Amino acid sequence: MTPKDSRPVRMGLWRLVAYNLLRKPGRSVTAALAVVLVSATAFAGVLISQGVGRALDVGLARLGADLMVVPAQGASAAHTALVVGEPVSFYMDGALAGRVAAVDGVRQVSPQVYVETMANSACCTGRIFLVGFDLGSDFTVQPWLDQKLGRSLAPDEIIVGNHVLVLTGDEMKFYGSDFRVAGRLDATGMGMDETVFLPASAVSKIATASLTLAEKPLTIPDGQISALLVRLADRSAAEAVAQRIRAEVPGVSVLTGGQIARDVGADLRGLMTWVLPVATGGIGVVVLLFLALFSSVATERAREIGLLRAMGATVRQAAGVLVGEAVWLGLLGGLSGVAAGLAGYAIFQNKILFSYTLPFLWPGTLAEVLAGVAVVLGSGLLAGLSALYPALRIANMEPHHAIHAGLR
Amino acid sequence: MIELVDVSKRYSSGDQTVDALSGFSDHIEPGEFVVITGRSGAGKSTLLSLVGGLIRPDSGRVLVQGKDLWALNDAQRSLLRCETIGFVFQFASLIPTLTVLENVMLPTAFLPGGDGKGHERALHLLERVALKEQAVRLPWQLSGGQQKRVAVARALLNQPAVLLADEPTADLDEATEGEIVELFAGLNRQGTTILLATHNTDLAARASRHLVLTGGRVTRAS
Amino acid sequence: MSFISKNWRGLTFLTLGIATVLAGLFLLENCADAGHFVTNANGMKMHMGCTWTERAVLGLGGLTAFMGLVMLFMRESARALSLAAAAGGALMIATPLWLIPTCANPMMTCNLSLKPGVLTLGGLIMVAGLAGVVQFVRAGAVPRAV
Repeated sequence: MTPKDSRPVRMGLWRLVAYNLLRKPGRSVTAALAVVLVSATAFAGVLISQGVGRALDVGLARLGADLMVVPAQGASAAHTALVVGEPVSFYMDGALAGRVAAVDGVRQVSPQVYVETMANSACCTGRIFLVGFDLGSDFTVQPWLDQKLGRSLAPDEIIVGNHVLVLTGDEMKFYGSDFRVAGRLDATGMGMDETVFLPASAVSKIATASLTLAEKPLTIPDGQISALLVRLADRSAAEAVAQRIRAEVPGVSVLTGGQIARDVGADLRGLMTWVLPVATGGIGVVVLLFLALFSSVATERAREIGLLRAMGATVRQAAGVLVGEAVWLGLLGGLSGVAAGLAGYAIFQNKILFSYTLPFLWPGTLAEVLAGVAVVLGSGLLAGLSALYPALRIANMEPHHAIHAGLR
Repeated sequence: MIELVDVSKRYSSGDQTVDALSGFSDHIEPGEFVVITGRSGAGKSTLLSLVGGLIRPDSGRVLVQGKDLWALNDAQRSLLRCETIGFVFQFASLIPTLTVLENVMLPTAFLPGGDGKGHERALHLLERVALKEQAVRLPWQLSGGQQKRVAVARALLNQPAVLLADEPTADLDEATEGEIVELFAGLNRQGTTILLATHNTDLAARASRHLVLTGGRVTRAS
Repeated sequence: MSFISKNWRGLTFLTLGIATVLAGLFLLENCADAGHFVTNANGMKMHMGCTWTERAVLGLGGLTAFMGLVMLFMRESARALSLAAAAGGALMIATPLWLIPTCANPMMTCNLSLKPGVLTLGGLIMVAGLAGVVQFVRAGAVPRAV
């Protein structure tokens, strides 16, 4: 090549650091991969924690209810339905609504009927969770109807949760009866997203019509309901009112928002029992790996470091070359890890949430970006600190010995 | 220019100790070309390293341009090396991942505030050592002699007053050795103070002064 | 240079290809593996689309392994075939998403098992393929023969 191809350059140590990373790409990639694993796990863990928290906040607020009363044997199933939308069907005497409404502290009660059905589409079958709500007393779906549609539902109309894969105006068939989608609810991150809402009266008609229209008839015992959503006069008295309901209305379970949040927290801890050890164990591995790696690199490049010192590098500058390489490996590994963690979570999201019964709503962009930046910077810092001792050891060596050590 | 006052350096390894330099004193004037010869282990490399501040003496003082090297802190001593002293070692010592031009320019990375004219000077130096055409090549693409010439160019980048060369012609053929020595002679004619350590006593003929070291002491000077 | 350094591309794709085939056969489940079928008007049980998704992925895995094998014996082709492998990885990702989509319901077995596994393997193959195209000119003192 001729000199005219050499464009003017400024020589900085950053250039040396960058090219040194490429010197042994296999080794650089291996070290970075360790960082990728740790940072991906850490970022995914943070993302899940933030998303679960946000879903609880939004979902419970959207539910509108302070308490939920279900049959005694249905508490666990109700929790699963509420959190992830797993279809359930259980029933209790509808007269219980009056008894619950009479409990001191209860302001409003709205019954719901749960139906588990199959929905056929061109490609495949799947279970759908139907919730029949009382048009007169509902405070979960009705506010959304008032705001978005400005009217009540027609007898053959349904509202779908945000994750149900149909469009407004589409037809759906349940137990032989046809319905039209009138609208889609906003995302909550909880079971409502997987649910189809329709008036309770429509559920009764489905049951009746299914005797002749459906392959398998729907049977709902007369006068039975699945759950009571309860609004309180004083929200802060939720636990006390729940106790009263349990005492005054036997045969029921009462779910509070706090209890749901605590149960979700326990499930989240179940997930974190493997995420945290992987992340913290991984941090230990990264520290040891970088310590060992840069001890080896420092020994290999003792002569080179000695030469840099001979050219005028201070101890700090000479050590900075090695530490700079470690920091860059950490930053690149961290960045790749955040991307891998995000991609990995997106790919396995349903599996994770379903397996651990967790609600999830994507945190806001700012929260995700901040978490990502923190993980990337943390990775760079961790890698740099791990390499600091071997780098300083070799930089502090008298240049004469460093140069001649490399010659042996 | 350079003053060594009763300098001693001893190396210890396990039970064994070696006096690399014992009570060495000398004064080197600006513009001198001093050739230091002696057998392996005579203390030649140690002497050059002491002058360059690459190793601390056990006793005595080393002064460069009137400054006691070991009275300075690390940053001051490094700056003095960067601005005043150039090193050429026995091995080519080029960074394998940097081009020839980047290797020559490397000392500018240690100048406070950088050096805007480093690129220009580096090209000029490469032209002087007849390697300007190789500026964008990597070290492995050059011969041993060419790599040594690049090392010389690098040592001269910051226009040092002193050039310390430790066995610069080792492993080179006669013709290339002659080129390197002629280069040094030319630099000396332009005023650079040169200390050159070598096994080759014939090079002493090009010097203004010849020191022979044996067991860390000067046994002959001319 | 060690055997692994000289043949890392071939070894990587051979491993990833075999891993894809084995995962498809023994690890990842589609709806048929879980006993879910579509019943047609005649009452016959038919495989759902995700069965063919898995078949296609097995084929792509086999192709990736074959390319890895070729790279071991024809090293000069390694960089070019890496690009082809990256395209194969992209195709593997596209298969369950668009070409032969898995079931619509996100809670179906294929979406909880097969799809995440295929997306992960396809992503790894694509990244490895792109990495294999890059040649580090400045790495080391001697150029690597590719």
